[in-house]
This record gives sequence, structure tokens and C-alpha cells, in this order.
Amino acid sequence: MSSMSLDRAFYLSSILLAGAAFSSLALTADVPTWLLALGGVAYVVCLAQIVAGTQSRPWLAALRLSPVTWNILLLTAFASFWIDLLWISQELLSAGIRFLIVLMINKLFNLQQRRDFLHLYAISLMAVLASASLTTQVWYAPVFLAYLFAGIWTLLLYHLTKEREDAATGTSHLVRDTAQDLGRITSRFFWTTNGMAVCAVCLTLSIFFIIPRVGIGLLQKDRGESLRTTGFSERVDLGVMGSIKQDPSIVMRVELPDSEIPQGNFYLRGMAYDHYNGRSWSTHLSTRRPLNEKPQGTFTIRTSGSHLSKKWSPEIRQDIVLEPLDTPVLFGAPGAVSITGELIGVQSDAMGALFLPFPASNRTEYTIRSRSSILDSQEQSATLLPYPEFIRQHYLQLPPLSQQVAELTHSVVQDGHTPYEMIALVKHHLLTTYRYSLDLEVTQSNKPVEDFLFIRKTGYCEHYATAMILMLRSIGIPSRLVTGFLASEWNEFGNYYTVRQRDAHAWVEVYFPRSGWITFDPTPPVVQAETNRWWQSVEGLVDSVRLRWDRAFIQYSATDQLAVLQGVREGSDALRNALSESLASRLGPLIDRLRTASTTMAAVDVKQAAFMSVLMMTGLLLLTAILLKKPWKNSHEEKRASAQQMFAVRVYGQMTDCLTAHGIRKSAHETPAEFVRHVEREWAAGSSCVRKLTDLYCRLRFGQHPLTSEDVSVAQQLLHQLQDLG
Amino acid sequence: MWRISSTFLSRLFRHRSLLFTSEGLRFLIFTLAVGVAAVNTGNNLFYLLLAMMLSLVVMSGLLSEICLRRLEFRRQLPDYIFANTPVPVSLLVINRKRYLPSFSLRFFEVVDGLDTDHKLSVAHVAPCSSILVTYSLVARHRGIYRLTGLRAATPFPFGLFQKKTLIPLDATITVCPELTPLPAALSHVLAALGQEQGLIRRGPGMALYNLREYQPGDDSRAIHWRTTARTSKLMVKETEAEDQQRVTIFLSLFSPKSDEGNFEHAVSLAASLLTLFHQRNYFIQAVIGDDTFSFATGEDHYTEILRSLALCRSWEPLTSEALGQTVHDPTPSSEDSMRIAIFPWADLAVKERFSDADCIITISGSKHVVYESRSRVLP
Repeated sequence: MSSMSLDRAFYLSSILLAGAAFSSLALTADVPTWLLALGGVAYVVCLAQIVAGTQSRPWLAALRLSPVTWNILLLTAFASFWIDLLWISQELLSAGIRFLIVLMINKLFNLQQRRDFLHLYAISLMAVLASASLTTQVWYAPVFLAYLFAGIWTLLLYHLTKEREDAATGTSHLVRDTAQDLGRITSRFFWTTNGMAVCAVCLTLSIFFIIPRVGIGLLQKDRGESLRTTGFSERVDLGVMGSIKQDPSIVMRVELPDSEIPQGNFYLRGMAYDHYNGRSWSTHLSTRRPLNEKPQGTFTIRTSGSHLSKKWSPEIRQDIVLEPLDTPVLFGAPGAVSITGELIGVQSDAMGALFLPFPASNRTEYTIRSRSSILDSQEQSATLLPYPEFIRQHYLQLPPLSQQVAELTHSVVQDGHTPYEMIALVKHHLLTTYRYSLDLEVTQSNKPVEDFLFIRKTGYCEHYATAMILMLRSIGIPSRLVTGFLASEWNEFGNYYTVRQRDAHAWVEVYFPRSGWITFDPTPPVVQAETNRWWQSVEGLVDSVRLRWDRAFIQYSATDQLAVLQGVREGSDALRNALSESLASRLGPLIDRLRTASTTMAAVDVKQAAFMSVLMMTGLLLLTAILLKKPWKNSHEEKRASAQQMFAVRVYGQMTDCLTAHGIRKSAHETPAEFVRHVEREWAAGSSCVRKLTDLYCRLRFGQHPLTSEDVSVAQQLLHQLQDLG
Repeated sequence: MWRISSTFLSRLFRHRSLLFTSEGLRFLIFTLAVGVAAVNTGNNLFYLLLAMMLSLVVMSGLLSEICLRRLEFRRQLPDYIFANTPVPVSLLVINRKRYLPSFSLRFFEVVDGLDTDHKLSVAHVAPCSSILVTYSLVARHRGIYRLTGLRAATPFPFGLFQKKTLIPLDATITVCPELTPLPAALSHVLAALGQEQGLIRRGPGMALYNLREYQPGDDSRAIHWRTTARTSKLMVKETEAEDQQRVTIFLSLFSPKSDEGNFEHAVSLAASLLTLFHQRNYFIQAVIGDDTFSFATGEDHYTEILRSLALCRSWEPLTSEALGQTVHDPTPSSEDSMRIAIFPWADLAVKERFSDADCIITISGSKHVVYESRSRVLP
């Protein structure tokens, strides 16, 4: 870019600006490949023109189409736009984007006058706007930055080249300091302009975060498609989770701002099921009730059995960013206590599942606080547990099972004396006896659990959990199936769990009269396939950046602004308190002394006190006057003035030296004007130069005339003339 | 303290004005459109684009303000100029900023509150440096040309709008009447009169005029001893008069308001004659209305008379009685000088008083000039 002419740099920046806009469209919109290729060719040609310069003119002339041809092409494109709008895509945005690209290509090949450039800028702005309406992806950030940088360069160069053009056409009389000619891009110009662009970025971000967020939503369109997931409907067939167990799509991100990474498995509970008919699970307690919103934005969940349980795990706060799913279920760690967020409403069923009124079409952010039950030690060792009728009715239900299951259960639990021991034995049996596998043949078995337990002996979480529930229910221990996610992927860059579709999981909750529902997971841990650690880190970093982009920009709302304001206010209050405390601690002794002094001063002579007051006031006034007058500024100006005077003295000294060499000596008593007359008498030829030099000397030395570059060159010229004459 | 506070206040409320360029207006329209789209949809990326456009506007304001700050101006004007004659004016622009340059400066002279565009612009003024700008100034009418200030403007950096600031740089120039070439007929008259004036006569000087016998009362220093020795009579030397060419220019200010054109023509003619005689080193006496300038020569005397011509205003014609009280010819008839009287209006009563003038110039309707010499009337 250095030593490039302004015109060339202007052309290049305009192309780059349009290129940034074009790339945003290419990455966002569904643009036909041929149109993208055509656009790419146009850019390559334009860039080649800049790089090759005049050498490219012959072959570019060969490529150039006549204006008539371009007009025909544009009319054809316009007609195609209408056809596209009315019959093909039937979407204004899609059809408009394609037409916009055609316009851009046309302008790239016909950049001749100023207004052509302005048209190109308008088209590029519309392109960037169109892509902003279609995407929320993080790649928009670098494209936007590139557009902003190119925009700064382009606007600046447009103005500077226009100025030169006006001067060339005589519209204005442009005076240029030839020593500082801006005809080329110097390194200083390059870095200054980039500095301006950086300032523009900072200013843009500041304004972005300050602008009040208002969304009238007259023409708002729901963006994004929901992620299809399974296992969270009112009826779940056994084995449906297998279809999503290989899907790496991100379902949610879970931050634990107040806690460390939990040791052990971190479950995110979705729905629970109580009724199994031999092939599918369903819930007979699906009636949902809305939760109270108190305070504003916070929904409190009344946990069942909480009054009986005495032990709780520490409360875990989870900040969850949930992708739009095709289910209204809200996920969180077991034992949800409250949920906070910009939610229209929250509902809950009798089994503790949380729901939105309807599936969200946009990403949902909420905070959920959970406190799971801890098994009471007495219940752990109790041999008999009394279950309420309600629990027995719903959670001991069994489908028609083969005798084998009961026999297997009894053989597994024969060594157990307490319900807890029996549960542990069943869990251990399942963990150690069966093999985890997602590779299952699609069967139409009527008894998938029996197949799992006795025939295949392989399965995945649903099979394990269902088998455990059936075995426990067969020995009178109430339990239920819970579906959700098992978070295992910790993103160290963003400090959150990345939960994917493949993390969908099913486990068991067993009922204890005092402790409530306790989680048991009979599924053996899955051995993760070896992945490239480096690639995993990169993925984690990219996902973290994506999340921050979504949080900071895409999802930024009025609530966030209020939160920032509140944070600023709290911060300023905290700072103020800290400052006042610090001042109090430092000035405390002084204040005490003043107090002491004031009490003693009451006995002191009034005249003395008045004198001290006057002295202090005088000191304050003096300080104020010094600050207003700024004598250090004058001294600096004096230093600058003295440099000017030094120049004048130097020039005059050179002149007198030259005259001395010619035989004309200046006497000490002669004033400069007298000396001029002296020279006129003795050396008429040199008197003109001497007069002018003396005049300049007097103006610079004694007058207010500032030293200009013209003065310097004039002085040098006159000295040379004088020397030549001598 | 009061001076400090007034300076502080003037800096605080420094006058700035903004004028949107055509590109700026389009940019503003686009910004509004993006703003409406952002508010309507609530799309944060639209807000981001809106923030970008607003940041460009803010940056334009900040950078243009930096460009206009700490600029000093020194204007070099001549003491007087002539109407309809371009004169070079130099304007020194000094950038007092230590680190920051100023770009794309444009200047407008403010005359009686109105900006006058001389198409002056400076591309770049480096920090702590200056640049000299020269331009032509033309005043259309005589009188006082008041420059109330200088307006500096800059569209830097993006050309979206032009920020202007008014610098109080008062200046006053006296605009003298327009100098016009003298008509050929008048030139002939003046030439003839000049010949009479040019006759050799006795007077103070260096050149020999005559040798004659000494008479009582003669200056003894004028005795020419060589001739005295030769003739054995006391002889004195008479010298030829030097710089004895004199002219009196009388300009009558009587002219009805409806004949303003004739009056201006008369004033212009008076100024042209004045200039002609000044260039020929005449001793000039001028009577302009009731302003009288005694015989003198030199640049200062010339300038003084020009100023009077620049500022003179026409008088409504008076009655003969009132006329007598106001019009007087200070030149005694015995004084040896050429006398030229100029009348913008053919008033016989006034002209009668100058009937013995060597040349009477009357401006009648449609600037028709009539020249009359002592001996004859010239066409």
C-alpha cells in the first residue's frame, strides 16, 4: 500500500469494500453457484486491473462490454428478479439479494465516474444489511470489521481524491504545501488511517452497547429453524434416543458461574416418565401448572417432598443457553428451585419437569438454580421403607413381564437386606454384566427389555434405565425414567459445558420417603473415541467465541443494558465507598487534629485565626491564578519564539560575515537600518539583498511575524545572491 | 480575571456551523433507514450497522473539529485599493497544533456578514507550520470595504458535512474610485494646458535662467562673481523654477440622488486626473466638497486626497444663496496653477464661480462629458 497513488488506493479500497459485502452475501444467502462465480470473476478482474495497472488495459478493453449490452443485461436481470419474486422463490429478500449481486457486478465493470462509486457503496451497504437480516453466525464479525476498515479507507480516499479532482477542474483553487504533498500513500498516512479505523471500531462498539434497545416488531420474522430432537415428548418409544446419539449438534451451553466443575456426572434433567407399557414410556402425570413469577422474571418451583428431606446438596446455579428445539422442555440439574430469564411463562408437571408454553423459535437464555436431594443415612440403612399410596400407584406400575425378569431380579438382590442395597446390586449387575453399544439392529421386538437382559445383552442408556426400573419395581421399589442430557464436554476457553445431541441420556430416579427422588444411573460410562486434542481445542475455542458473539451482540437486549447500568452503578457505589474509606483512613488523623485544633482555637486570639484564614484564601487564589495562567505554557511559547529569533540572528550573522568579507564592516553602534544605508553607500549592488535580509531579520527578531518555510527559502536565496555578488 | 472569563466563554461557545454535503445527506438518509429497520426488527446486527454509521458521523465531527482548532490567520491587505481593480491579498494560515495537521481547509471572506467565496482551499497544513495563500480581492464600489472576519471550513475527513467556524479577523480597506483611462479629448486639453504650465520661468532652482544687474534687495548669495568680474558690474544669477507645475482639482459634490451614476463618474474622473498629475509629480491642490487639500506633492498627500474621494458623498443641489456659503475656490486667481473643475451636475450657479478655471468638466446625462477650456468649449 505504501507509495501507492491516491487514485489507485481509492479504487482498491472501493473494491475491497464491495468485496466484504459480497462475501457476507455469499456466506449467508442461498445464492446460485454461477452467480457467485460471476461475482468472483468480477472481483478478480478488478483486482487484476489495480495490480497490473496500465499493462492490463489492452486485455481489459477486450473484456469490456458496451453500455447497450450492459443495459440489456440489467433489464434482463430486473425481469428475472420479478420472475424470481413472483414464481420461483416468492421471497423478496432472496430475489432481492440475487438482483443486488447482479447490480454489484455491473458496477464493478463500470466504475468510471464518481457517481458509479457512490452507487457501488450503496449496493454494498444494502448487501451487508441483507446478510445481517439472514444470519447470526459469528463469521459476520470479521466480515463486519473488514467492511468497517474498508469503509473508513474508502470514505477518506473518496474525499481526498474528490478534492484533487475539483482543483484540477478549476472548481476550487487548491494550495498545497509541496513539502507535504498527499499525492501518495505514505506509511504515516497508512498507519494514521488504520488508527482511525480502530477508533471507529471502538466508537461503534460503544454506541452499539449504548443505543436503547427497542423492537417494535412490525415486520419481524422468526429466524432460525428448531433443532429436531427426540426423547422429550409425552410418549417415548424405547430406543428412539439411538437416532440422535451420533448427532454432534449443540443443544445447549451450561455455565456454572458460582461452582466448580462437579465431580462425577453432571445431569441435566428434562422429562420424567412413570408408565411403561412394554415398548414405550409415557407420563400419566402430564398436567402442567404455571409457576408463579415472583419477583419479576423469576419462577419459583415448589419441590415435592422437600418438607420431608433434610439434606440437600449445595445449590448450583446454571446459566443455560438453549438452542431452539422442537420441544418446550427446559433443562437443568435435578432439584430445580427457581428459574430466571426472559421467559414468557414457565410450567411444571407433577414430576418436576419444566416447560415453556410452546417451543422457542430463538435461542433461550435462562438461569436455573438446583438443589438435589441427598440420601438420608437412616433411609440408606432402613430395611423397610413406607411408600405413600400415590407413589405406589404411579411408580410401581409394571407391564406384562416374563418370569425371567423377576427371577433375574431376585437372584441379583438376594444378598441385599435393605432397599438401598438392592438398588445398588441391581445397578452393579447392569453395569458389569451388559455391554454398552449404539450398534443395534432395528427389531420389532415386543419385549425390548427382555431382549436386552437375556438375548442381546447390549444396549444403551434407555435399555439400562428401563431394565433397572422394571427390576426395581418388580421388588416393590418405586422408580421412574428420566430423560435429559449428560454433560461431559467442558469448554475450558469459555468455562461452560457444551451439550450436544449425542449427550442425550436416560437414567433412573428412585423414591425414598424422606429423601425424595434420588438419581441412579445404571449405564456404564462410554469410552470416548480418540480425538485429536488440538482439533478439540480449536473447536472449543470457536464455540466459545460463537457463544460470546451470541451473548454480546446477537442476544444483547434492553435487559442486558439495564444489567450493565446496574453493574456500573454498583461498581461506582463500591468505588465511592472504597475511596471514602481510604480517605477516611488516611485523613482520619488529620481530621482528628483539626478537631482538636478547632477546640483549642476557640481559646486562641481571633486576630490570629483571621490572619490564618486570609493566608489560606490568598494561597488558594494564587494557586487558581497559576492554574489559569499556565506560566509553563508561556515558557514553552517563549522557547519556540526564541528558536525563531535564533534563526533570524543566524541569518543576519551570515549576512554581516559576507559583507565583512566584502570589506564592509558593521559598527557596534549602527542600527540595522543605519547599516543598510551604509551598505547602500558603499556597495549598491548588494544593497537590495541586504535591505531584504535586514527587513526579514527585524520582523522575525522583534516582531510577531512567525517563521514560515517561505521565509527560510527566501533568506537562503538572498544569502546565496549576496555571496555570488561578493 | 474578567478577560480570562470572557476568553474562556468565547472558547466555550465558539461558533460552529454544519452544512451537509450531498453525499452527507444521502448518508444520513441511509442511516435513518437502517435505524428504522433496527428499531422495527430489534435485530442486533442492524443496531451494529447503525452504530457503525453513527460512529462515522461522530468521527467526522471530532476530526473536523480538530482540523479547525488552534489555527491562526494573518491577513496582509493594502492600505487602499481601487474599485473594480483586483488586488492580491495574502493570507497566512498557521497551524499551532503540536502534533496534528489540518486537512482540506477552505476559506471565505466575510464581508458585511456575507461569505464571499474566492475558491480558496488548502489541502494540508502540517503541525507547527504555516502556509501562505494568495487571492485576488475586487471591490465593486468605492468607500469603506469592511471585512468582518474569515470563515474557515473543512469537509474532512469523509466529506459528509462541512464544518465552518468564524474567525474574527476584522479589517477595513478604503476603496478608492475606479481609475479610468482619460478620454482623448480631455488628454488634448490637458496637454495644451500643460504646455503653458511647462514654460520656463524664473524661480527657485539650480539651472541658469538669466543674468542681470544687481538691484538693492537682491540676495547677495545670488551674485554671479565671474560675470561680475568680467563686466565690472555686480551681476546676479536668476535660476529657472523647478517643480513649479501645479494643478488644482475641484470636484463639486452637488448632484441629485437620481444622478448617482454621473456623480460616480465624476469622482472616478477626479481620481484618474489626480493619479495622472501625481505620476507627473505635480503639486496638487484638491477641493472636494468642503475638504481642501493644499498644494503638496508626495504619496501621503496623494493618498489623503484619494481617501477623501473614496468617502465623499453627493450633496443635494442648493439654492444660490446657500451655495455661496458652501462653495469656495481657495485658489487665488493670481496663483500660477492649472485649475480643473469637475461638475457631476450641470449647475450654472456653481459653474459661474469657476468660470476662470482652465478646464471645466461637466458630466451631463448618460455620462456625456463636456470639456471647456478658458478659451473655447471642446466637443
